[in-house]
Amino acid sequence: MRRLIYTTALFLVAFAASAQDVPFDKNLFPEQRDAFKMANNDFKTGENNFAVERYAEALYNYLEAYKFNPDYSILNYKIGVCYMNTATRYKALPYFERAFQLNRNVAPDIHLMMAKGYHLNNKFDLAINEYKAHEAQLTPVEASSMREEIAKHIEECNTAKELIAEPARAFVDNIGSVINSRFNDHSPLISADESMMIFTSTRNNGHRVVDDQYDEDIYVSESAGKSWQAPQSIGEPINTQFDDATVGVTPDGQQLLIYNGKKNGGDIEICQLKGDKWEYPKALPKPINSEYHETSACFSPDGRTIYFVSDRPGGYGGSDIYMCSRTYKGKWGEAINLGPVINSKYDEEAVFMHPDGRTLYFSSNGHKTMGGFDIFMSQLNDNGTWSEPVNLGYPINSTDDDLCFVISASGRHGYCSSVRPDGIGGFDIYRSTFLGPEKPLVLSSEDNLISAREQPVSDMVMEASVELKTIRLTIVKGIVRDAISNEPVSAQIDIVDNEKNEVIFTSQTNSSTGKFLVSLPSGKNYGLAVKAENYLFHSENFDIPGATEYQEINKEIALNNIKKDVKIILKNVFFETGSAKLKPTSYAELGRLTKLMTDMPTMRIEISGHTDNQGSYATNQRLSEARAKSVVDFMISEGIAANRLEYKGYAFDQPIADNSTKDGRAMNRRVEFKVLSTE
Amino acid sequence: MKKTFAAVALLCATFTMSAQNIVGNDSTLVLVGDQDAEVAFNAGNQKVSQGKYAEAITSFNEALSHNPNFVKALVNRGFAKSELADYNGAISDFSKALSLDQSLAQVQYGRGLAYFNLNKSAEALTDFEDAIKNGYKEANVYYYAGIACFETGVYEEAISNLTLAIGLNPNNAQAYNDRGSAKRMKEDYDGAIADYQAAIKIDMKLATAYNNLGSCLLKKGKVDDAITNYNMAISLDPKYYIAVNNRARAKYEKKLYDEVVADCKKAIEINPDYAYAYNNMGIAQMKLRDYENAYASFSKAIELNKNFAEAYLNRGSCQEMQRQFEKACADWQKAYDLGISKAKNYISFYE
Repeated sequence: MRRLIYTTALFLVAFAASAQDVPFDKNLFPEQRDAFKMANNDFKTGENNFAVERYAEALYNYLEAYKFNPDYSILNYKIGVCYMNTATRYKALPYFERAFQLNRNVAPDIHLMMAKGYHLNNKFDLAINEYKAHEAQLTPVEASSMREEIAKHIEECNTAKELIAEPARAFVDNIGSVINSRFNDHSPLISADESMMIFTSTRNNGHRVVDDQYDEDIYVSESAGKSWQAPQSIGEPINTQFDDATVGVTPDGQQLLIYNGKKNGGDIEICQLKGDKWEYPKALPKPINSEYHETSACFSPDGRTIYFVSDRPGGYGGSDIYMCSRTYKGKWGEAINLGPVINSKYDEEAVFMHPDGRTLYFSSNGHKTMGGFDIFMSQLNDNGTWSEPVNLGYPINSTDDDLCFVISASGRHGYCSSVRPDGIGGFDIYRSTFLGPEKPLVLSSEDNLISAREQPVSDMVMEASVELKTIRLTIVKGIVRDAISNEPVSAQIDIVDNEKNEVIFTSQTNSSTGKFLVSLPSGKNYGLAVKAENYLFHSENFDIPGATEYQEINKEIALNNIKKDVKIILKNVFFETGSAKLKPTSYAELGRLTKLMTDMPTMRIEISGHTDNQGSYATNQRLSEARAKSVVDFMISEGIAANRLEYKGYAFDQPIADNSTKDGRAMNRRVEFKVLSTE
Repeated sequence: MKKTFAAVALLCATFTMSAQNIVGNDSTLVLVGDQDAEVAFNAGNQKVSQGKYAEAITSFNEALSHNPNFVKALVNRGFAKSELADYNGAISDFSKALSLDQSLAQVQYGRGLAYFNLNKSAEALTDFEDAIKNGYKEANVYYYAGIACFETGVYEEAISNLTLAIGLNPNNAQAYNDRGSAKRMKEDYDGAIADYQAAIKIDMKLATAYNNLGSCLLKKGKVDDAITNYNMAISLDPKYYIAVNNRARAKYEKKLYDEVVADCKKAIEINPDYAYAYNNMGIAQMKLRDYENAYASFSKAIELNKNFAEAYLNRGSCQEMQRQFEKACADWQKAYDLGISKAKNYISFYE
């Protein structure tokens, strides 16, 4: 012990000799008067900017002064503080360290600043020591108010150590300079199939500069294969001379939610894409917006529920996540706080609901974070409760703020905003590539089990198996076109739960491109009906069992004008096996046909039944005709005049697919209608 | 294998004695006037006793040239052939002898041993069972019948036969060891541990029993005890690379990945062609996030054993961590082709 004290004393002497605090005093630089004058001016300008909290500009000035005199404790400290107030906070550490080295009493909070610096640079044990050192020097009154914050930071350091020791199975990459700029680029939104990204940037937009950043504008980029194309401003009327920021987008990319900080304490607005033009943003109504601060929102995949962030009173502290669902009349119901499992006494932000409709992602600085905001995930249970939020882990999360996470429908890629040492400048957009659960490795060993045999017996031991969970979701996307002209058609797409006979989601194709995208969680028999004015409707059936894993289906849909001899297959009409008895799952489809007949009161149609080639012709003819008659009977029961309806059974006379395959036979077993006359 | 030959030597001595009885009792087996055959037969036996098996075979050949049905000569030539590892030749001689006299239980046992040496456990078991049925109820017959049962996957019968062998020779450490292995195959790890410990009590230098005991303890989750026993096995036989690899496997459970790598290197130093050690080393290197060396280790394992499905599976996972997704899928596909069905799930994640 005696020896240790002696060594420490020697160190202090050496330290005092080498680390001399050199203030900006002209008498200390008699040989460098001109250089001193310029540096001192920079320092003073920095002080002025610092005083009005223009930290980026102050930082520029201070760094100029620093080139002349790097040994001034206060200058080092203030450079550190400036960094702590800009995006690249992790750069503050060496300046705080130097400031402390030059003057242990440079600022009352120097230990706290160094602690934060170490924390941001993943030096957790040093950070914990400095947090404790800061706490130790506080007065009892100060300590009582700071104790919780210090304890939280120390807990964050310990969490960070745990998460880094067992990293998440994901690669995180800066998305690159095509998207990211030296300014803040953040709040990425993607379409479900990752074909489009919309994000916010403070890059040069020709407007005014405040503290080295332009006002926020929204940009759009489309993916070309595996790379993103140069982003374009989303333009007017969404981008203005003020801050315009992305908040959420529907999976099909047709509706955009944006944040407007000028209105009503901060509100969410919605914009509709019509063709290639965005309509003027409209504020979402109460109770979503309030006189308080609403900063983030996203729709459930069926568009019936909106999840949003608000700091309105009555929450659990800071900003909280709420949900609001549409009533049957289409009005928004009551805003419901998601509760204490999701909302902490600190802030929850940047909410995103996966297209599966069950997995909620959000940022929080209140749950078990490794520092600042981290991204968490929670699942909606069948009973309507939320699972305990799970930190997505390192390297998806870092010790600084990780915000605005969105994930592709496939679950393979996530995007978020973060500041990291490999960044291009300020906040950048990062992409996470998820590898799924760890794949067990197989160890090999063997033993000489039998004494009389030299040949050992092998024993392969697989590590504990982990179920490979994938997203159970089907993305159906495609284009609706006119069958003759091939031009895109603006159409309505209804997704029907055939079991419940109810429309669960309605979407629109883009009027300019005819494109659509819908997400269908596994476990239902879906009908997809495409309707457009002056066209016969088109239907598709997607029977997606619960175990079906993520898939994307592309559909090119051709709509036929209403005219004589046009035929339409009714893909959502189902019969009992070997019988002409209609299944209830057919009612939605037949309802559409009934409505068409009602809307076109002079139209006459023929309903035809068709079979595959299994069994005798006579049997198939009887069955196909009986089935056609069942449809006609249903329509008559719904009020359509019998003289407008004919029916006929064609057995297997008119196949549309190869009867030698199972799929072909399934396609051949069908009911069609043909327009006999329209007048 | 030496144990097998020792048993045959025993057979030979026994048979020589009984053959004399046969000659005395059944003169039809030796044709009148075959004095020359007898002389050559005795000369062959003399050579056998001197360990000169090739010369013995020449003498037996001469005896059989005088009398092709000379059972004693056929049996002892079969023995000599066994000693020279000509098991097929031995089986041919024993079979001919048995065709002349089906009651020769010792010869059934001898042919069983020849089949056993050819790894034809099912045929061996039939002969051992016939020998027992015909009254040859020696400890060794039960012992080899037990092993043959083990190798045909009939572990309960293996245990029964080995128990009978132990009953006739309670100091047979190997029988305890092997019965322990049969119990292990039935996942009766406590029973197996007791038998391995009994084997060690009889023969404290039986390195394989320590190794097997270590592996059973590992199955029971007693990792430290397992390592202690592997250490004993290695101290008794410093070249016992299997035990070194197993110790690495045990250390893996303790997440001592650096030590796993060190043990695997040691096993490889002893046996440079030991693919299992390369595979285990690769896994430990993966845990140390040393993917480059892990890839090299798995590749070496595959180079040594082209059909090493597990190494392909592991290398695929390593390449996944190296962001080589297509190559990872190619390795998983190979693992799938070699019989690891779950590799298909891995591939489907990237489809």
